[in-house]
Amino acid sequence: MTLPSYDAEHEARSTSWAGMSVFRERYGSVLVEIHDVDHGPPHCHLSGLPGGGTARVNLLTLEVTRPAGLRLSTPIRRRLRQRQLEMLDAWALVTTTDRDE
Amino acid sequence: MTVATEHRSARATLEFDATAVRSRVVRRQVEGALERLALGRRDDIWRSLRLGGRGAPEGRAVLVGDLHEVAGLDGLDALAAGPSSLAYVLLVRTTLDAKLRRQPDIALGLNDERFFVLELRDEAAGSASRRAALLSEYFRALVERLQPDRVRSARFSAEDEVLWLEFGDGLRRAVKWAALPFAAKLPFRPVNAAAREHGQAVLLTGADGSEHDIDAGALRSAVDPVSASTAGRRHAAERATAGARLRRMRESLGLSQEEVARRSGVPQESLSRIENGHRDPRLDTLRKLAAALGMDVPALLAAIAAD
Repeated sequence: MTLPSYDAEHEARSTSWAGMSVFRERYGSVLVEIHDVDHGPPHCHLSGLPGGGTARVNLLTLEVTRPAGLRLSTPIRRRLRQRQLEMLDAWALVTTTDRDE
Repeated sequence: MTVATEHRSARATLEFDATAVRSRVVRRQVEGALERLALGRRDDIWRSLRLGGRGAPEGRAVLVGDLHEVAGLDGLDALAAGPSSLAYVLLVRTTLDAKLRRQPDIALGLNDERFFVLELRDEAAGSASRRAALLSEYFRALVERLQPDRVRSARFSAEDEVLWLEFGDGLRRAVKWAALPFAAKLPFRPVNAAAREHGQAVLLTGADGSEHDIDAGALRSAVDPVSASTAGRRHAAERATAGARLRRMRESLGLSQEEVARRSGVPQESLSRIENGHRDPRLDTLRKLAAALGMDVPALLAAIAAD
């Protein structure tokens, strides 16, 4: 696989900064987002869960890391699994303060 | 659950955890559940304590209050002025009200993490300042378990380029934009800031009208070293979990790190760091590792996934 050049990556990032979120999708009432500036490990944020809840999901394990013990509904987990690769790809555009790779 | 700790000559016991609520309806249900736990109930305690302790009854009682209200200095002073035998039941606003509304007794019985009873025993009796210190110690621990990485409100002063933040646990900070560790990496200058409705991010608006989400946890870590340390440990544990699963997958195939490194082109040092939880693998790295392990990326991710 050919790795993106610096210019290509920079262009992608510039596109992001032009007003597009790194990742944002809505599944019914649930909004899945990856923030433009965040810390690792790769993760996404969910809001609009039943009861108005929010959650943080690790993109590698698809585990809910916060709040601890929360189990997502099967449809939401299925959608996250379907979009896992895209979200991991999008994570490369996140400005992190702790990325080690 | 009972957790006892020594605090100078005073001792306090965190009797158990349960679930926190916000709505009055659920609050009544929780109080009912507490009554069945024989902890007692005094409707007027909270109000009287907020008035400086006047009229607060002596003896064991239960105070039902919102931790967000009492975490401030005024709230601490009010609590410290109350009788030392008081058991403080602090309700924390969470998004799990609906769950608790359905089964408050079970929620309490599950010994969950979102509801707290703090009992100051007789040994804790003494000056208000001593009790305030004791309560502060516990509140710090409790607040850590709340939502310190949520932002309640945010604003940006373009004139002096200062970002003003108030977090979910009441912490307020004003920080120069240029002092934030990631500011130099961002190709824009903010002119406005607002907390997102869910509190997980701050929405910054640039001079060009573009909008950018800054993670609330990242902001918290930037302005609060204690939170940064806590978050760092949590994130390290996440990385370790994923790395250990990747290692198990590799070992189940009878492959050494050297062999996978040779097959994938990923340096062995990098693979070692990923498996040991010191590095986050990028997608292209996962693709290379999956190919080296004879599978596609979804299969590799399924092996790393919890279920």
